Amino acid sequence: MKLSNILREAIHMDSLVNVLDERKALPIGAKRTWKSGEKVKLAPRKWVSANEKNLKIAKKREKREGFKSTIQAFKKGIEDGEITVKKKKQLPDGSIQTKETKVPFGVPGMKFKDHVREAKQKLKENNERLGSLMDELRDMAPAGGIVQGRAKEMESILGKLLRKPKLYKRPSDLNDITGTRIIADTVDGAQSAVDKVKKRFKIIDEKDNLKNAREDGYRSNHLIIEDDDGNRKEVQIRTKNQNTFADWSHNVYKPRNPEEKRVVEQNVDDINKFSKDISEFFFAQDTGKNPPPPPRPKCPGAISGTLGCI
Amino acid sequence: MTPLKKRIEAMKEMTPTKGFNLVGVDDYEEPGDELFLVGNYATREAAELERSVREKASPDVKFYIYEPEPKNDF
Repeated sequence: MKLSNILREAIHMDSLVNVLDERKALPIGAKRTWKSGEKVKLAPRKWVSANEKNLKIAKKREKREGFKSTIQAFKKGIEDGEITVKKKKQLPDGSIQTKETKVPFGVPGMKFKDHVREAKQKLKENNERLGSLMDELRDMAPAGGIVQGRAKEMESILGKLLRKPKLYKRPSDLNDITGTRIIADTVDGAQSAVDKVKKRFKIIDEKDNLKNAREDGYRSNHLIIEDDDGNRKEVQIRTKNQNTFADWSHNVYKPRNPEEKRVVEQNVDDINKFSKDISEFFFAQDTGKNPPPPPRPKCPGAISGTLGCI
Repeated sequence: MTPLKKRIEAMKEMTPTKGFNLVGVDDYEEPGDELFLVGNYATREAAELERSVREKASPDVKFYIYEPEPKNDF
């Protein structure tokens, strides 16, 4: 049998090893350097099918570039037209119950590429306006105030659509592709900034926890505004102390060893109590209450060794 | 569920069973919704490499690398 015939046959087979063993054919590239009359001995060479080859390439690429699972999960959701949403609930014994439900996903007729294109377009629009919006907010901030701002990361946009498919169907539905923050010295300063923002922009939604704290002590006012470019954006307004508090509460996300994780999970109640107490202490400082604020709450050992103290 | 508990659960969701997850923190999100997955990498070095790229592009965003929980042999 001719070598070309053997190779043609191999295309339809997963491996050429057997073919090589039986027919003493040479794989492509092998050098024929034997003397006349000498027997040809070839080590069996592993041939792989196109599918196996692609899989190997994909694995190598995954090693190199990473598996973009948020994007891939999004793509699959769009292709399937539905996704599974997990809803977690804490039971009275403290354990977590997870309920999974299938929910329609995406906008009918809109492909994955269309969603990504829209997200990129929205990011572009938001990024173009971000600088001038922050300048405007600086003018609204009280003396000594700080203004921050960011445009969402692509994975954060797609991740939010995956998490809340009933609320947001497409990237343009999101209210916080631009997020900005005015950080004031006092609660009064923060409130004056809230009033100015409300006067300047059309307010779509408001979550006011500036004077009435959230259950963990967090105090801030979150406004959803409609900006001049027609996009909805988020403006968070709080004090410097409350900003420190918010940053501290995100420390829980820092990677930690199993022992530290266990300490955090076993001391949830203590952490929650400290969280509320320190926020109240800050609030008293920020409102300039008279009599002066109570003594600063002590930071328990479980917190100093894990989340760190503030 | 308290905000702290929501965050702990979110962290568990983002903990990989294999490889290393590069996770970003979007601190404008509600408690428990702040984490977003950038990617899963076979090696810590690959995740670190991507992290350095992301941190340059978005200096205000925190990125963490989560690794699988160690298996208990007992």
